[in-house]
Amino acid sequence: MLKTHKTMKRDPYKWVWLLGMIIMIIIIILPIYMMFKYSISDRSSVVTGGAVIPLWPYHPTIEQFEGLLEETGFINAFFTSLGVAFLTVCISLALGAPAAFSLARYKIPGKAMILILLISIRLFPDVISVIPVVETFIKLKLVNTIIGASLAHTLLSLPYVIYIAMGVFETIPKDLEEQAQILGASKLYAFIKIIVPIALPGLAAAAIYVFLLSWNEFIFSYFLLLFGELTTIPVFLRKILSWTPQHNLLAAISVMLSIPVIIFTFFVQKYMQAGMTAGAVK
Amino acid sequence: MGDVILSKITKKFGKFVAVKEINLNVDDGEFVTLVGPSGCGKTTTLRMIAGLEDITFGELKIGGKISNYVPPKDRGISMVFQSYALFPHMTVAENIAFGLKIKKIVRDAILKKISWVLDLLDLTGLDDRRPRELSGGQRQRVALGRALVLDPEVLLLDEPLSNLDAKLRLKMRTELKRIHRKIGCTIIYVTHDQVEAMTLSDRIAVMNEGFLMQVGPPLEVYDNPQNKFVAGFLGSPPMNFIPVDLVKDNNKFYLDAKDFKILIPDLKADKVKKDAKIDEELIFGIRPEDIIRIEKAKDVHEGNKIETIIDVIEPMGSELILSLATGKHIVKATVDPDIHLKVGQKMTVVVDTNKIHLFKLDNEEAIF
Repeated sequence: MLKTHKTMKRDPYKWVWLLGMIIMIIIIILPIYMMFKYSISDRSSVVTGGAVIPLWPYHPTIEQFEGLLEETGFINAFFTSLGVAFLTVCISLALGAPAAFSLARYKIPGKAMILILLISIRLFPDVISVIPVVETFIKLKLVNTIIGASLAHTLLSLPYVIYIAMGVFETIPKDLEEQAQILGASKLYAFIKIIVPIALPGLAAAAIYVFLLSWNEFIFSYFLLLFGELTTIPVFLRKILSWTPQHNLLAAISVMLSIPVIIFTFFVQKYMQAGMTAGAVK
Repeated sequence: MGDVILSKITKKFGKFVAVKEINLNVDDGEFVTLVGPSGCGKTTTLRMIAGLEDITFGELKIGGKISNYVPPKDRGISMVFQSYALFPHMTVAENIAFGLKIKKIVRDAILKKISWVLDLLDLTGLDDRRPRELSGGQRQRVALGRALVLDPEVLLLDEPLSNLDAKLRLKMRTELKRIHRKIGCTIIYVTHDQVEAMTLSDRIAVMNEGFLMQVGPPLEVYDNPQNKFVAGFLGSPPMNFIPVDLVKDNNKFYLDAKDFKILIPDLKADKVKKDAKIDEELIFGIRPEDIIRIEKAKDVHEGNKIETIIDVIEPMGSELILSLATGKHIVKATVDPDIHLKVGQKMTVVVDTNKIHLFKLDNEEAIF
């Protein structure tokens, strides 16, 4: 790191590098900015695009947000999304953490194969797995239910939970469990009192990852909830698109969808990284 | 009662036999050390006594009760791991109380126990610290305290001092001896450090490649090793081994190393007569401290003198370790410090023939 830093200083082209970096940041930020700008635009700004300089609406307004918060369809979608996401977190962790623990601790024949199979669903594009899943869920009467959507999201998140949690458990020395056992603890007691508390930051990272995955998920939710009363926000957005609404309404929904993600990521970035590296370092 | 009896204990990991038919009786209150190079099966043996490892064959009795299938918590044992295995999310007091809480001991009694053990181990005032806020030595003592509060009949210690720096290790060695005297429980101690084994134990059990090579009080094992492995393992610098031929001359037995000849004293000659043949190839062993400079020797004759040239001098402070070239062989000798000694200088040394050892070449068993 230090070395690259030094060469950067001596590099006569460093302004070129800097410029390149600024352009990259603009490219990344621009869509987010445009979304935000449209969400607070008034009608005339939507049509003309607002003032070119300084790229701001003529009369900024929050009427779209006010409208959304009075719109029951949106409120319902928001809470459905929240419910699905929380349920997904619960199911993923309840299934994933014990699975990860046994994979990390015990010699299981064909462990490498199991790990590849676990991740295999994510190796294909989601559109490929969505049809068989929806097909199955229709038979199981799981379409148009929160639990159905949660189970579908669990399908996507479980491999990640297992991989992250496995990394976390592997960093916890086996000595601790054995010591607990010698001091009189049962295996379950040792797991609850020793392993889980130590693994908590890592498991929290996994939980947050799952929450975001479920919150953002579109394809599965779309096919599973398309013809029912329930919708998640991404699906709600798609439904509104079908009657060509104004840009500012769409942008406002997008902002509402993004805010929890931004807040979450901001606060738990530290844990996320901790969880990820815990998975990487063996 | 905290006596431990191992009868023909064997441990297999798949096809690999880690521990081979070990027989060992540890008396109540005794301090026994399992010592050997890494991979010799000593930790596995300890883990079998603890109940963390299944016993493949053999019988384990703790306190007179067959304990092969008794879960660890019901064996009346406690164990300190090499890594200390302190629970990082708990304070010192919580760590120590962990086992007591499971036993559903009342709060007041737990608090009393904690303060007793903190006092015993010189940890007073550290109750609320977390393991990461402690020094290595303190962690080690907390781990020991956590084991001691359970009043174990048998305390198992797996290389408890190996993660400490040299100075602290010496201090804790003394501490351990003091604690053992105070508590009086049986201690089975595992180490690869022969000095720890020698200084701490009532008896040591030397292991190699899964076999128990020799058991006995430290000095007895040191003075009368039953085979070449034990002889070479105990002692630093290790015993010198030199291949020799047994020859007979004028009704006296000699060990012929080509460069020099050692006369076997009459006391030991009987054993040679019984166990070895004339002209048989044997291994002659002599400890560095039993090689004496000729000026200091009391009893000098042709049969114990060796002409050497100093090859390397290693000053240790209180003594010098000399590597002496006898021609074909190099022997190590520890002598008193002497600034006049120079590399390349000629030096005549004398072997204390009462302390010589002789081993068979094939099975490395000791003749004496």
